[in-house]
Amino acid sequence: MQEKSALVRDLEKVVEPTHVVWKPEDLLVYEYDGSIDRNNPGAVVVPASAEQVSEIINIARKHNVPVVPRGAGTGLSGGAIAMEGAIVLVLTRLNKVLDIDQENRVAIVEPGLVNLELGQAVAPYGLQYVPDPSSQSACTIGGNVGENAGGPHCLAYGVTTNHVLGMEVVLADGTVTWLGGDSREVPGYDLRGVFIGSEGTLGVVTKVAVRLVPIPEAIRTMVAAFPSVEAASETVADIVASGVIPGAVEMIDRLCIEAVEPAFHPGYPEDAQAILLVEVDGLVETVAEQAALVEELCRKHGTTDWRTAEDETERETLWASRKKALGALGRLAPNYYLIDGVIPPTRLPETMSKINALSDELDIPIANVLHAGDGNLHPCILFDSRDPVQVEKALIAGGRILEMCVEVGGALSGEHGIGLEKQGYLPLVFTDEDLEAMARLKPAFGAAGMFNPGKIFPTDEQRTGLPHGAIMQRLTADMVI
Amino acid sequence: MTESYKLDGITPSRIERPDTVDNLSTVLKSIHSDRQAAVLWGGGTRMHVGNTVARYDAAVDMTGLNRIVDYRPPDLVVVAEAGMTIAALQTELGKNNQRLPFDVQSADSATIGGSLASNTVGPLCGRYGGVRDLVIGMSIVQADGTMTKSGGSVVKNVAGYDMARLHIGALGTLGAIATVAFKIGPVPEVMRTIAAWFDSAESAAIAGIRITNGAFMPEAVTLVAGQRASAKASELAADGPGKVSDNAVMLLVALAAGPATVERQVNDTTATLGGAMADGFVVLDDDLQFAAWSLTGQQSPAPALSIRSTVKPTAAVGLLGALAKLDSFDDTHIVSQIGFGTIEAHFRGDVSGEVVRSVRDAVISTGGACMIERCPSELKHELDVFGDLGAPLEVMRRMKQQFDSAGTLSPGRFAGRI
Repeated sequence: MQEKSALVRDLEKVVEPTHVVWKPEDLLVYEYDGSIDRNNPGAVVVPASAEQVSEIINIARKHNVPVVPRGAGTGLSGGAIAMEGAIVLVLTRLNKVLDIDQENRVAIVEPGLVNLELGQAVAPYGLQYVPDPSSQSACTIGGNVGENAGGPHCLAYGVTTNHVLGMEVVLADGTVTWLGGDSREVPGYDLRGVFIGSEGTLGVVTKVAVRLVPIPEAIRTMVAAFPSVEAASETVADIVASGVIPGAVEMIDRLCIEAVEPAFHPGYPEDAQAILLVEVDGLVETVAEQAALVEELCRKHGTTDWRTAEDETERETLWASRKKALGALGRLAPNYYLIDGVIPPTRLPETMSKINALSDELDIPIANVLHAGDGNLHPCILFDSRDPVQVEKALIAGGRILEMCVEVGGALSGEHGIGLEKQGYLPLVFTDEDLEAMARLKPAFGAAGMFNPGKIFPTDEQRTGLPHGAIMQRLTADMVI
Repeated sequence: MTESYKLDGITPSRIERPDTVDNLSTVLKSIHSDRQAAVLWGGGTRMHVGNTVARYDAAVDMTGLNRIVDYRPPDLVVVAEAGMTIAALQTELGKNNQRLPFDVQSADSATIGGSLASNTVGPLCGRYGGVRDLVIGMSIVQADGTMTKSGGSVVKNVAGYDMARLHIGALGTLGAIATVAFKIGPVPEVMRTIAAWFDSAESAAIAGIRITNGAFMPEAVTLVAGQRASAKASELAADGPGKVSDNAVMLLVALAAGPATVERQVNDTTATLGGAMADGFVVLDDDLQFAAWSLTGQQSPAPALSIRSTVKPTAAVGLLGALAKLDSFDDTHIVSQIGFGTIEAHFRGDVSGEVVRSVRDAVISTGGACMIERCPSELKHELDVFGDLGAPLEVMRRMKQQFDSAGTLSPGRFAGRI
């Protein structure tokens, strides 16, 4: 018979015992998220209210155990993995839409609400919530706040931080307070702004006020096939430079096409090396003006097949091929390692060529699916985690791609965060002074060591050693079987 | 020379005007080690914002940092030094038919750093967001001279904390903004302005909300009330159709896009205005529309009291009506960005502590946020112009402690006199 710890007994005073997970075999479910890292939490607790969250944090402080807030675990950078025996605080029971204010175009929601369900709740009012990560059928609004999530439609409309007005949060001392509010700004330092994207390291979000915008009067989704990735990339660079900012400009390459065609039957031409999915929205007149320009640019760069979604069903099929592309990659390899680097759009043609060359050099397949319009790459390195040689190759390829991004003035992460996966790469972009300044936010929020420890900031070894070495060490122990 | 950097009755003994980021670092390091207190100056257009400074030895004039660091038109990104004026930046971008979708008053002297530090709003914020929504990266010189950065120069970036946010609206109390990376956009092909007038602020605000919430995104929807707005309405009504009441309130709507889109927007907007019972309206283009928008700006002499509030649009209706009806002032000028929810109310005349508190209470009772941006200096000593910020103030205090424990940067000027 396993013994409950004092911590677990205290947690069970706050929530029903069925909502506290503590047996080692049960905790295994929470040892990983959508990334390739894994680690066992000390306990898992699933509260149903902000008050319970506050009480749990007080208990954690009393026992000197850190807390990791978790939504759906779809972040792909290890953000939801518990280090240092932390309690995983699962927020998926806090999943209600509390208020929809149609006239002021604001909704107040709980953090565990699934992104897509928010969209469905506000659609009857003619409104939408713009950030739409590809994982939107699973990921939560609280998780989106933690990662400052993006999505295809952020090209024209901005990412999570541009669409969240404020959050109710629980701080390390148990205080429940709003940062920001339900209007566009409040006086004082922009604590809401630094909290968004802080990967659960500063506190726990218990309510979110989101900004809604009208559903566009007209939407046109267009697909263009290209004979090479480079031609598709040049088209994207030209579209961005033209100043027309479409709702979305997405690209998938040959390998991805091979995965999604049998899964969703979007009907892409067999000889296409790259597909662009471009969506323009707005007034009927705007859509006509922008679509004409996009078509002209695609034809200029030699599109071999051009079509417009005829109806909503075809539009949904086309989007499914894009948004569910990652799932379809399972047809090609048991595992994929998604790299979330960002580059200036004008550097797309050369960078895509370099990624293809890297795949040849290391002899490891890389499937590309990207938010091309804002330069947010998602190369998916395909491998088999049972083969340590492949694992190491995947990690080396990932590191090399991130270095390529930094070399052309890009960023290490566009929307998935740093988490565990990329902390070793931060020194490629940030100096010790930059990181030290960022680290001061934790004591300012009174959160030193309390929330999601061991994330974002590189460890001392990572500042000097090969970044992928640390991940290998963590992985090989139990992952390679 | 030093007199021109006088603030809150204090004249600094030391003036520094660094012309590179390295020099800025050296200057702040020296001030910090001399245990002096510094106030950062841009164009000096919004120095009235904030509480009174507790100590002030050195003025650091940022206008020598006035260069574009990196400009890549096809990537829609520009990086510029903080002392560059908004007008100079827009001129450079305009050469490529691009712009930063952000407008400020006195753009010829207002700097990038000052506009960010004081979180200026203008008519474009309803569509494009506040200036914070346009910033993608920033370099900061800390109070002790340490150079740091966050973000970068690509439009999507979540690597590390979003530190730039902290400095926007911080009045230079946590560090000196040195360079800023912005996402920029094209200059719209066509722009038209519809200037409408109403018999009350309430009816103008309701029409403004209806237009903002319509099928398309107007470039700007701005309500202007007060004596100047009434005079403008009379001037426009004299040349055109419609009637005009004594205390007419103006609603300016800018529409900007391709020609077919703008034509449709003009038709939809004028139909809405007719239905919303505007007393009259005119459609303006070319220079006439820019003359109409100048109504949103300030005139000298400066007002005695300026209050900025941000409320939900529906709450703005009643609040605008109440502010427009205040009759204890000689002159009232109210500018409200309907889509964003800000109301900037400027008053001339005698201003007492009682009056300031009653106006602030009126805003707070609507559930909105309120900041007193300008008031007589004797009142500034009595009240915290930021109001009561509640529990987050404690976090802000610790933030100041973390980034400027010696109180080098404008001590006392921020919320809670931190």
